[in-house]
Amino acid sequence: VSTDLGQKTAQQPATRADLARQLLARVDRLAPRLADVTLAAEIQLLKRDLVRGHVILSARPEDNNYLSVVTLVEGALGSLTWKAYTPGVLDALRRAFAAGTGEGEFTFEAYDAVRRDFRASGIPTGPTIDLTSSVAEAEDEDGPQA
Amino acid sequence: MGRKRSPRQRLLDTTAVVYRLHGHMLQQAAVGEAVADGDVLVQVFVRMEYLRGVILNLVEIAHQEVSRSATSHRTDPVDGNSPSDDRCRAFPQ
Repeated sequence: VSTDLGQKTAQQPATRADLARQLLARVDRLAPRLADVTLAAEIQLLKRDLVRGHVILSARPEDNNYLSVVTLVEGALGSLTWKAYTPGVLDALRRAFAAGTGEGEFTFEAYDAVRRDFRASGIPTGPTIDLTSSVAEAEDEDGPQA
Repeated sequence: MGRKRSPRQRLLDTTAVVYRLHGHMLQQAAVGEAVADGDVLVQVFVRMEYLRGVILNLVEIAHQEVSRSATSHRTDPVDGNSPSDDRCRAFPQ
């Protein structure tokens, strides 16, 4: 649950592009394990790499929007159990990570495109408020209104 | 007397924050147990991204409600006129 962000390892990527390629490689390792319980362990490794990405990306202001992508993916993975992973989810993750493999500044528009792609793919992008369920729950708590 | 040790600091990543705030009861309990012996830290960046997610979702809910409202009122069920026709009637040229 907690992670030492300062921990360095031999595989630590040096740039955003390196990190993006490493994350893409992680996603490729998920594909053959879909619907298998071993997927859960691979997901944990992906999450570990994502957390380590904070150190690399926060050091360069031009990479901050890609750090937002990393945080977006972390939040999405927190909302998915391993059984909910599908080829469509993996494709969306690939598109998100692949956006960071290029050189130059990672723009807000690129981040927003990833966020919209997640929503279109049915991947949770953050805390959501379901208006219909709120009404139902309120009625359950207060009793039916006259 | 021994020196008083400060509590350990636990840094939560985004996934753990989601587990703690929105996860299943077991996930919430797991995070609570993991950080029980220390102080919990969450990066400012992660906090801000969480807030951005909340705000963007609220904006999208509002947008959907406006779109739904516009669609349902586009055609007047009585005389088939659009709302713009009503405005024209209310404010004649």
